[in-house]
Amino acid sequence: MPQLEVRNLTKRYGKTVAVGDLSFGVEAGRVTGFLGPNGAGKTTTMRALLGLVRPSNGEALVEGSPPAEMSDPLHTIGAALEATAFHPGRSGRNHLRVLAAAAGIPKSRVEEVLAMVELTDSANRRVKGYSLGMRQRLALAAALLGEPHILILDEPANGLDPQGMRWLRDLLREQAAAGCTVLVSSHLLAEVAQTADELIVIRDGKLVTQTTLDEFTTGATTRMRVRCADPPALASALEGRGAGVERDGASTLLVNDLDGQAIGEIALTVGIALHELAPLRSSLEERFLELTGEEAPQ
Amino acid sequence: MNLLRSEVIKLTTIRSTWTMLGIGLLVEALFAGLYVGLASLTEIGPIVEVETGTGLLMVMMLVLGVLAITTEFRHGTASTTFLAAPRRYPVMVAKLGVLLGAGIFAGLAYVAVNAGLALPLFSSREGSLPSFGDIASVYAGVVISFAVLCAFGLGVGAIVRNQVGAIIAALAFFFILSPLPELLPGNIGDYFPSQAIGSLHGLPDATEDGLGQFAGGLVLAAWSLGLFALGTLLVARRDLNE
Repeated sequence: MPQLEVRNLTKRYGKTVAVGDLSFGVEAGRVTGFLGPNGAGKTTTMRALLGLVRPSNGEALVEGSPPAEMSDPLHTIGAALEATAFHPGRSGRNHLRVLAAAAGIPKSRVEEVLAMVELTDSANRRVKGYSLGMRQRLALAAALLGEPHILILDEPANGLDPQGMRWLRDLLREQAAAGCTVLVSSHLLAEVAQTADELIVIRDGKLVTQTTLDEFTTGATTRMRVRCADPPALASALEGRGAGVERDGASTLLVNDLDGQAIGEIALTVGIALHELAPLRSSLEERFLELTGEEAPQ
Repeated sequence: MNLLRSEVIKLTTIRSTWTMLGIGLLVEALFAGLYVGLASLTEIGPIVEVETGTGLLMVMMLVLGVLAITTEFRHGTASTTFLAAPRRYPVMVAKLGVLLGAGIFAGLAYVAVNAGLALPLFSSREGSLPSFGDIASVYAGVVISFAVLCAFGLGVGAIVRNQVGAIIAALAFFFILSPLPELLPGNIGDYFPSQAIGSLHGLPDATEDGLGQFAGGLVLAAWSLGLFALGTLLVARRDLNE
């Protein structure tokens, strides 16, 4: 059974459809990256899984039940939603004490998580003086407070410095290795590509793909760059075999849908000398942008 | 019990709570001094003097109640609060309980300043103080009213949700709109909060031609409970997007 599941989840705000008929499951023991451009509906989906947003249709389930029915919420699920969700006048330690008290978690655990995120020295300062990275770490400390076996983190890497990023990656890997369910959202593939085992990609509130990182990588489209003596003739020969061909300058063709061996053999049969035959693997990021329909930055 | 403890920590770990209480008590003390200085110029009765200085504290109690819920929405802590406790009704009831306690605490602080400073000042003048029983019933009314005002603010805050809007709504309703029905013929005005709180405090002009102390308290409590119930219903149904 998936630890987290949305079934036909739909959330409308007035006429705007934030999430439309979205279904997926998230399994334990791995890090699942939840990807999509800004405004794709990631946060709304996560909030539905946390019981903060009521679905217009469909359902969001935690361990098979609606989130409002969790008997021991902080021990079940830890969430870091927005790095700004603190009362600016309250200290970091007191913020955690408020949550610990509500869930019956001992004070000593507050000190433990403060040490984990390396905020012990700043714990008595009011949050208004914290940097974005510190707030992000405080949010993570809050998520870890109840030693939950499910983590839902919304853009946790925002504002973290490189050490913080590495620390976060290690933490997520450790949690997953210990059998936890980890769902991490990001609008940047690179942030989760090094950590995630599985990817869920959404766009405009709809599922684009759910796949393992390995499949995602091998599924990246491969194109061949071909330089040859007679590009127009080779192009028509390749097109005759069902390939998509683009011209790239006078002597170069970009060929889709055929591998190097096929192209070489076709060139041999039509008697055109090849000068170059090279695969162009589109990067993960390009594939992600391709899927989410955004133009690659120039 | 856990939720109550959590709400107590919330209330006591932000400065504004203490600042508001401190300023309220300071102004109470200033008023006591002012009345002693100006008493010959006024025609107010001794009971009114004892109750003097509750004005700003009443405002503070309303604001304290409003802030208890609106800060959660303003700063997004409502999300973490309701993650720790997904059932929203008990959270609201815990807030209510803690605010009632806070109101009683503030009321007792008022009594301490009044008995420790204002009464000795008043008695240093010519004339006599009200009887012990009269003073005690004013004190009881003030303590209860502070608690109920916190609940009133919580209700308005939960309904309006926007912090500034809720503070304005609570104060405008309490101090500007709710005295207006007193101008109407009949006794309809007695059933609005501002007159009811006068009755609860045992002020002569409110109790003599209006409700008694106990009835005034019930009216005020009914308003607060109604607002709290409506506010809680709305909070329980709302999506938390921030």
